[in-house]
Amino acid sequence: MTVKVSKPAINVREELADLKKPTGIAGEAMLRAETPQEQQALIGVGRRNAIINGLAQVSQRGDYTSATSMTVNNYYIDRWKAYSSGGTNTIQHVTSSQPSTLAGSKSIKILSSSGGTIALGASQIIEDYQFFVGKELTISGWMKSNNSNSRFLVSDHVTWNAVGDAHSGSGNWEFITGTITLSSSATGLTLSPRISTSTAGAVSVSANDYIEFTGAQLELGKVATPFEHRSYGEELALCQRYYWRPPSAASFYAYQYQPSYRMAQVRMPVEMRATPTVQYNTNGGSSWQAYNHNNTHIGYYATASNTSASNVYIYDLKCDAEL
Amino acid sequence: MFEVQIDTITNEKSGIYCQTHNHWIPLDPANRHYQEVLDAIILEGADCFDGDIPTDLQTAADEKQFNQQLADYRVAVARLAQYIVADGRNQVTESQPTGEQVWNEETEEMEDVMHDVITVTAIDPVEPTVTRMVYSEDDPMAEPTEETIENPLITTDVAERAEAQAVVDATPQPVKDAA
Repeated sequence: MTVKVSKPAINVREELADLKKPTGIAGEAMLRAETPQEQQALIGVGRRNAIINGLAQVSQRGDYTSATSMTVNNYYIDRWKAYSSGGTNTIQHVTSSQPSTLAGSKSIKILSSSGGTIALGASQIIEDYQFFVGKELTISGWMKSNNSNSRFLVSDHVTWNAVGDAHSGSGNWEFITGTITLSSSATGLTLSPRISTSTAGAVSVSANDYIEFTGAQLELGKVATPFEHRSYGEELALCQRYYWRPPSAASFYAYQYQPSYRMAQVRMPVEMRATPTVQYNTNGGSSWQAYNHNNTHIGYYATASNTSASNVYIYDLKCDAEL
Repeated sequence: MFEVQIDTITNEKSGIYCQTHNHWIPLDPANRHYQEVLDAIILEGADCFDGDIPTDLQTAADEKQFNQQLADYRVAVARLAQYIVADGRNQVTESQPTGEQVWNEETEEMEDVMHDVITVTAIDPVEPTVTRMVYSEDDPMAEPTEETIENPLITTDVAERAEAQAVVDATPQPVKDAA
């Protein structure tokens, strides 16, 4: 005898939800995720932070731990371009009194010496902006300021928009986060902590007003995940794609390749974004000429006889391929 | 001040030397200093160069200037196309097919069913003036007085439109033709 038994269809997810397991809201969300990509986004794994040197650990160009007179559009701490619409200002690499959750971090402080109706801060241009076009981005970071017009701004290289709330101006560290969708017509992507209006315009700034920031993070999605910590070595390598400065005393000797010429060739530690602008000093030889530069190595040759006993080399090399 | 560097091995341009900053700039459009050289040529012309500006650099600078003017012109035209805040905007309605069709017995053809769609919503003009209270700086106890000023929204709109119009007026005709 054959017995037919029919069972009603069951929804496994609902059944699991009924179990008194301590899944919590995050666990429920994981179970409801449709794809591994959604689950990955929920966990916040992988390379998330598009900002390089977010903790301001790398400063290849020099030591700015004392307040340094700031020139607009110059780079000081790696990857962060100084900005002000006017006045006299300083930039400082601060190494103490960091946010408690970012122990060991450093921060960048930009201060207006003169005051005035100005905008000032720093900005970081993201190279791979195409990846973010039309997508929702979350900005987060720590900010300290005594001016209540301090905020994070994002530019799609058409317009500037504030993201998240402005700093209260209390002079204490405040964690600021906000979400923005990068326009589909974006031609670039820049994050800028600055004292300004919500559209990057000038505001009233008193002498000694400042903005200080660290832990800057720009990531896909609408939730600020914990700061993505990278080792100093990783961060340095990322920075060296845009700027490389070996120790100033490092010498790159020229070899004799013709009876009257010597050539110095230097290979960059990482492939640079573009053929860099180069600054260098020379010792010995004459009529130094650049030869066959590209984004992986540079070469210079000089007139120097093979009977000359002098050392011929270049030193104090600086390669700049910043955006 | 810039000067062209010639590679004596190949006898070709190897880069640009910036005397001001003592750095060597590659002939790479992705390099920001190369772009600054082009900007200097646009702004200062031959004054920024020690010797003649090489033809290819001048061509690159002209192209950059053209593209900048074109981009600025497009932004300005788009700004001028926006409604005037002081005037407001009229509603625009268009008759559009719904996607359905019906049989017309007179013409003996299928015809689209049409319906009216608002393609541009109406916006009322803003108040031409606003009043604000003015407090005396000399006497904090004095009663504030009312002051009537032009609506700041209108002031901003007029200024932005004037700026956009100035860009349009200053744009060379070949750039306008390319827009």
